[in-house]
Amino acid sequence: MKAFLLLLLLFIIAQPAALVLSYAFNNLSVYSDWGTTIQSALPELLATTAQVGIFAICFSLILGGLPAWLTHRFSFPGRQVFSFLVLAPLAVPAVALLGLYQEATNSEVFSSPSGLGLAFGIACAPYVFLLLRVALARTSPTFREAAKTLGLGPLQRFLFLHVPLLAIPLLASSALVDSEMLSDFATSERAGVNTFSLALHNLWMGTQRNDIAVFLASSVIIALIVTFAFVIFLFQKFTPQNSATGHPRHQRMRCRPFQATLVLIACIAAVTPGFLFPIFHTIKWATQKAGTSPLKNLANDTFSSVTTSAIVLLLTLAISLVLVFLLHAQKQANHLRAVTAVSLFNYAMPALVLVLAFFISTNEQTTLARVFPSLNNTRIPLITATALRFLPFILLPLVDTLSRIPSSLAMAGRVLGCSEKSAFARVLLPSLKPAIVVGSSLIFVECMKEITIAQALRPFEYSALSLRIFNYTTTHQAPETAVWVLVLQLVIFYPILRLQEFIEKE
Amino acid sequence: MKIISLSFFSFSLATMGIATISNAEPTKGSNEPRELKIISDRTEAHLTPIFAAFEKKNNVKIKSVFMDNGLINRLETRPTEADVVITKDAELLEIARQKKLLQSYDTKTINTILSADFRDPSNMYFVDAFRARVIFYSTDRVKESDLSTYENLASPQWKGKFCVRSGFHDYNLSLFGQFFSFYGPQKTKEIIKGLHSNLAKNPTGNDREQAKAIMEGKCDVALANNYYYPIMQSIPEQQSWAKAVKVFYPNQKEKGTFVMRSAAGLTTSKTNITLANAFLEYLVSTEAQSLMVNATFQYPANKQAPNAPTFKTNFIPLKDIAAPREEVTKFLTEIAFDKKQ
Repeated sequence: MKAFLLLLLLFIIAQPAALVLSYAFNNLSVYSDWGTTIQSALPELLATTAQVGIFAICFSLILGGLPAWLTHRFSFPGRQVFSFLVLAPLAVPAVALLGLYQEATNSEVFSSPSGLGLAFGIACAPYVFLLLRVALARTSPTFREAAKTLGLGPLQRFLFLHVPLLAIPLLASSALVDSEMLSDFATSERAGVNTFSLALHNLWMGTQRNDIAVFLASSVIIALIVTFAFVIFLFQKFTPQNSATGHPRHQRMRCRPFQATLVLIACIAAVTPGFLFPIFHTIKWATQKAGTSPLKNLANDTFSSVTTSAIVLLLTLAISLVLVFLLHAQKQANHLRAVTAVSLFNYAMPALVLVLAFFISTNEQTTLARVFPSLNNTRIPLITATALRFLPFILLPLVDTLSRIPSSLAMAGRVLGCSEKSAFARVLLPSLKPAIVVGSSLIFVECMKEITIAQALRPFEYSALSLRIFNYTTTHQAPETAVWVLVLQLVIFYPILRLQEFIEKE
Repeated sequence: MKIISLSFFSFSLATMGIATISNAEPTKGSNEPRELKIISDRTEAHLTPIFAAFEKKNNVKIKSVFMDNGLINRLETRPTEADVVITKDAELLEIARQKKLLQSYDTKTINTILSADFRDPSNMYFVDAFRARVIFYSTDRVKESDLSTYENLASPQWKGKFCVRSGFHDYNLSLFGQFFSFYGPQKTKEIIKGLHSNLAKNPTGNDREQAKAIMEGKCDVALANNYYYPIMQSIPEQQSWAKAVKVFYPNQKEKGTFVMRSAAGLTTSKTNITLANAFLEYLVSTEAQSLMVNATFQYPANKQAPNAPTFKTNFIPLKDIAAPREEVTKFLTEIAFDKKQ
């Protein structure tokens, strides 16, 4: 039964990538028609994508990394407020952020690779902040003391101590930023910058041929397999050296007034692009549009968004806990890490490709659709695809927490008379609570603003806040989105607050 | 273990239940409205008045889903989920016909109302409205006499002065596809190359953004659908964009201006054919066509409806409009059309 359940879950998680690859394998003839065209376009596409990716990583490291370090290192008035404000851009889809900047500044910069990179950088900065704050909190302060004792200056300490110690979270941040960028064609389309995902979208919709999209998508998946193998190798090689558990707590440096002023200025500068500037314009537009914007769908959109996100959250939570129970409790932590790596494919591949896989798997000719003829008329395909895409957001924190829980803890429970499931429920589960809170908050937030999957797989009469924002933004009516964006931010306020609390506890 | 497994499965079932219930079809009683499902890639607001009028007249509940992209891809994998499909570009329905995703509509009324130009010869779909792909030009910097044809926009005279939205957008794919059918591949490629080399900026934004770019002096001429001009005039924030441009109907001394056609048809669903046919018949009625004209500023396919075009149109036969789409997409990819040279 356990093996069956495990195989079933693994099958569900791996299915999208496997489907796309097998479909591509069965349609290799497309290469004879399109091989030359794709080969001629690919170098420029990859160069533009890499350019946007590099800009996005740089901007996200500045906007997320700098406040992470400042709020970790220094104690100053408003520190916790800034921690919250850095996380605030989580509430806004990148396409809406770009639309807002284009509309508010009327600058050509936001129709260039650097501007697109900035939009992705702003949208992803909260993740970088989250990852780096946690990593910094887990770095033993004794390293810094030792470096000081050895006479290393601030620059040397940064280069030879902090950078190597933070290499893994920096790498993870970069991978996350690039995944977000790769999965999002709408923002690239809005900027008019031809990234790989936009080209995939253009060729798919231009030709209306699934085989061409699958051909391109499979190349992404193969590239991802190679990248993941490399990253897993790096993780295995370096993670044990970086882990520093049981270290003394950091003491934040108390700032003198001048220092505090500088830190505050830096923090304000860091939260301006992602929070202060957008919220100022959003409120201004919402006020201007008050009474003129049709708000009749607002309640319905909010309800749909919240219920879908909540169901996705519960589904991912259930899958994760069952996986943890089946694998970790059986001392198969490596298998759990492997399943997590497989689940990462669904996040890292362009959302359009995931949609394509779901179009293939929910085809009316499949046995599944014949047995459940109403399946496609429900939110189930939408919920399942979204859950698969965001599953790593809860699996990764769980795997991370599990790696730091001594195995003797569960054993002690068993020795004290608990059954296997009781030890899991009463001993292990409470220790996983912070990871569950972080994962759940992130999944809820991401679901609330998800666009590509919702747009393609939604059932009849379904609408959502993010879809309304997308529709207004793509028709260049950014001011019309203001009320929807504000409601989205209100709904997401609580999960972001929980994330901020988690960071402070770490 | 049993408890965990059971709880997981029951939770999954509950999830499916919640999701199903939230979208479940109502139980049909004698007074319950009948239900019609429509899938479309058109702007929701443009079809809503027509849906509302049909619902009121026929005690029908229309359930709809609006896709920005991927209409045919979805129809291909879910061919019977909707009863009616409505699209902003008729060539998508021609592709759907070729993929056997449509069935013949009831020809009695529709073929009487619509001329052959607006009907698929096999009666699988028809055009319900159309608009012209025209030239917006700067009122300050361009004289009307400078303009003549689409080919003229590709001449060096407009180097660095031409704006257009993404070449891969359905409107441009449709226009370039019509070029392919009308001028032949060689001349079309030359025109597209010429347009590409004349770009003043990367092709981005929608048609109205091109008018805005003209107002800002970024370019002098742009390709756009004619109905955006009255739409801009009706929106306070965009009135200055409309004031900065005028509309020119190209190729009037030749075969006429190319048009974009929106179209409708029946999916292969067998469950609701009578009602679906009734809706299609309503769609070409004078009443619905008037609603369409009011909402979209398009030209009606029904000649009895108001707002007939006052310019010469070049109707490329429906059967020829979809074929070049793939070749156009390939050529645009090869020359990287969406990047200014």
